[in-house]
Amino acid sequence: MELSAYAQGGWRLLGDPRRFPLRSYAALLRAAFRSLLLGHSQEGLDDPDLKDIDPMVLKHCHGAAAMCILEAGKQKADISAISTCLEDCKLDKERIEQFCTEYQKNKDALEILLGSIGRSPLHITDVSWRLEYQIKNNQLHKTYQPSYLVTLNVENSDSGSHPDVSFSCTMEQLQDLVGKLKDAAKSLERASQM
Amino acid sequence: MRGGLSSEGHKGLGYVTSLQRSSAGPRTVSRRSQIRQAAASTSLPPASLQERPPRPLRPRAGAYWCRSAPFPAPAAAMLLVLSEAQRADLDFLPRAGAAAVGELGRLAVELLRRGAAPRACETASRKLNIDVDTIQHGVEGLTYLLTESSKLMISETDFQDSIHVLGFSDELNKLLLQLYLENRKEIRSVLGELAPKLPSYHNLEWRLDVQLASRSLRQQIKPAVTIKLHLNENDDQTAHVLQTDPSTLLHLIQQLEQALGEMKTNHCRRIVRNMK
Repeated sequence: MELSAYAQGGWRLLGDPRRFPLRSYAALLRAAFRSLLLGHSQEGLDDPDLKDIDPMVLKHCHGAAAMCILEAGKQKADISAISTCLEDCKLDKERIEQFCTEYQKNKDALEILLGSIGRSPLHITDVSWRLEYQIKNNQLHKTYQPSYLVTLNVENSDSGSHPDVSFSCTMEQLQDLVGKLKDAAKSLERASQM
Repeated sequence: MRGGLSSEGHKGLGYVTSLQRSSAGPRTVSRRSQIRQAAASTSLPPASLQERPPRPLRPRAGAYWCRSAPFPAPAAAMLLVLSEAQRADLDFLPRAGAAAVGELGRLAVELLRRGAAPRACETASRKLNIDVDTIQHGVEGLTYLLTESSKLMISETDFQDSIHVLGFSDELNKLLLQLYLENRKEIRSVLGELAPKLPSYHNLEWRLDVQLASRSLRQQIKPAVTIKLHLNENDDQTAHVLQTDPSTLLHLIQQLEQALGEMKTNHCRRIVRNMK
């Protein structure tokens, strides 16, 4: 795991007990995790333990902490990799341990967050259906055939919009569709056993 | 008269009329008067006849009629009503001859398949030595006759009864009936295309993926089913690329199987049986 020069500079400041007493260090770590996971960039920076710190330094260190958290999450870095990286920035053992504890606590949420970033096709979340029996229309009488209206509920991960897909199908067509989905499910099961 | 009915007479009016029909021969009376005649010839009182449907009710094998059926028994007769103008359009057919009627029938079916073709009417006019207007009206009249009968899916006997009012010869009536029966299926499919439609299912393709890494997260194992759904929308084909996860896929299958199973329930079967 490697950090940029800017981030390493920030962590050197964080490792300096004269600038960051342990309480302030802990408050800044909490703020960095919260701002990433809750999506509010200023979250937690008004903590009383941080009020004596120069805002410029605070901003630099907050950014450095966020970069380290994201990089560790992205690489799925283990404790030893994180420790080595932070030791390079002259952090003492206690501070490294504190970071690792906080990291372990938020690791899963971080992974979900990072996994949800990026483009992917529209995601089907559910399906609803309606069965009707067609009797006649203005052009044709005695049509007498069942017809299904299927709506696939779809979610767009980027914009959160829901452009549902609706279509009608005959019984044979629905059988065809279900058959194909079953093929897919069977293949999926086989693939998962490999 | 009674001799012709013999032992069938007591079974009810329905058999009477169907027997008389099958014996063919020139039909100079309308079905109504036939029914009246038949009623007079049987020993049953007229009141009881009126309660019976004019044609025998023969439920399909295995089907049964529920007392609480939400729908009445099928309507007995469904006759076409031709307006004065429509009758006038067809008026010249007996004079034109069988060959001409065959040609006009072909033009009428062609009109339904591909739309109006004035040039074909002109050619036919020269060939048959009949003026274009008459040909065109004849084709329109036949087209109406064929579409209306196909739309209503009227039976052979109802068709015969409907054109009976035109007063054509038996031969011509037979020709028209043949024209109707031969083209009914195709005309119904043409009419079916005109019905208002929602986007409809055409095909589905699928692919299994496992996402291994992304810019923001390495070392992933995320199975996904990518689906390409082809739909028919206003004569155009469109495709939707969608994705889902394994557990949602199983849920989809389960839901849609329930949808298919619903058609086999007693409720749905009862409706279907009684609609026919």
